[in-house]
Amino acid sequence: MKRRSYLGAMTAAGITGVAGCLGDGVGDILSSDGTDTTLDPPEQSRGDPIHPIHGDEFPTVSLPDPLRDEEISLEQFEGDRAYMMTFIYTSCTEDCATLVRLLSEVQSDAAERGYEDDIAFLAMTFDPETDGPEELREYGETNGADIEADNWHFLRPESNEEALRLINDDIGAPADLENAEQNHEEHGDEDSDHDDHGGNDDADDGEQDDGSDDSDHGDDHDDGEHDHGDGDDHDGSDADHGSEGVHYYTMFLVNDRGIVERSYPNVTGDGEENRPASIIDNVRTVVE
Amino acid sequence: MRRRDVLAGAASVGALAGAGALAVYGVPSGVLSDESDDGLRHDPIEIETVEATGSDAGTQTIPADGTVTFVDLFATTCDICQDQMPALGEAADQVGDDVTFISITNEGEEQASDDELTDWWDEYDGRWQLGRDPTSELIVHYGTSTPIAVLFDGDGQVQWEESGRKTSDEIVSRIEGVLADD
Repeated sequence: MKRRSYLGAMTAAGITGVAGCLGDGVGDILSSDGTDTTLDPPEQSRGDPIHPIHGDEFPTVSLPDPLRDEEISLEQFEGDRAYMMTFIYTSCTEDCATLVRLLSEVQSDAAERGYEDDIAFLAMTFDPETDGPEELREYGETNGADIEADNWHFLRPESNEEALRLINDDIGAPADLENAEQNHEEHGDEDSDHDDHGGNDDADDGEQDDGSDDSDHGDDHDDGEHDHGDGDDHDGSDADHGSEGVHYYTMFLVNDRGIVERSYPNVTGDGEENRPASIIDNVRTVVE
Repeated sequence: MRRRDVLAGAASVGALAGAGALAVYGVPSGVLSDESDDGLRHDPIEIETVEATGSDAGTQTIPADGTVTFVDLFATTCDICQDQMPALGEAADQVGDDVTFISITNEGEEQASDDELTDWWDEYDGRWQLGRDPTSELIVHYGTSTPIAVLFDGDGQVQWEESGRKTSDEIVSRIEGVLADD
């Protein structure tokens, strides 16, 4: 998968000095490292994962919003607003719910501080076969999202296969459906899946993968997102929170030039960078 | 250290973190994740408490002034939070009287009405202070992956913070540890 780093072509020198005077629009074009992001690179390196990270272009995909019955193309946000994107399915009642709640907290902050038109919230289901519009609506409402707001979009690919391909291949935030029976059938021998998805070994948070590039995903984390199923890990009793280990639930903050400002590869985990307050600060900075 | 005095001092100086600054500077770009002036993760926040078994309607400052404070952040829709209730109950029985012990949901009345909330509370045998944080003022500093246990010492410093399911032994020993050090 190609991941293009986008170095700003802006004429940095002349504009920087007056950024403060001109206020909005100019201040957020430039950052100190001269790239096309507002935020500086995150303190903790993401290593070299497959998913887009700070400074990378986010893949421009186009997906239906089933609640509004319209097609949303990520490209439409360029020049318009930043967006936050994450991946959920409604049968996942713990960490995915957390993802929606997190987005809803940013959404509330946006409404309160008047930047609701400068940001969009995209929650893509990767179990569209189970998650129809009504399921998504209820899930959003239960978890505090203002789904009627213009800036909220549930995205629903045509099929589970397309959804998983998008996440695993195009975006590289590996995901698996814990509770979906069909997934167990699709994935046979663990080893062959590793061959197919070897490239995704680094997709998880760089700080947690201590460079064990070829390791079995099963070693790295429990029932979190990994792009192959082993029947053992997915019985009904192992809900997506699992018994121990980390869960790689990923969220992206992309600016209005389609460039990733932040990837949050384990956003439901503990850690200062994952606190809603920190994330809200990042978003406020990006939209200002 | 008396937190109240420090906060009063900060406000009078017009420090950016203080409310007084809002009047002087207008609404700042406001860094939500900055520490308050006395090194706390955030200024104390007033939480609305609800009338329920073991809980009176009113308000509770978090962290509570002058006592060790134990907070359980939860949501009624969260399965692990349900599973967590028995352990919380045991801990409340053992040490609840020595500290400010409270469960706080981030759900507003639209997501969980008063009746729904108290029904849930009774179903899982809640019998200690219960509050709401519908605008996420408190929870935004800790996370959204409920249940989250947050334990503050008598000075309001966070001594323990952990999401996921905990045993009553763990909760009790953490609380007792902080009580002993206070």
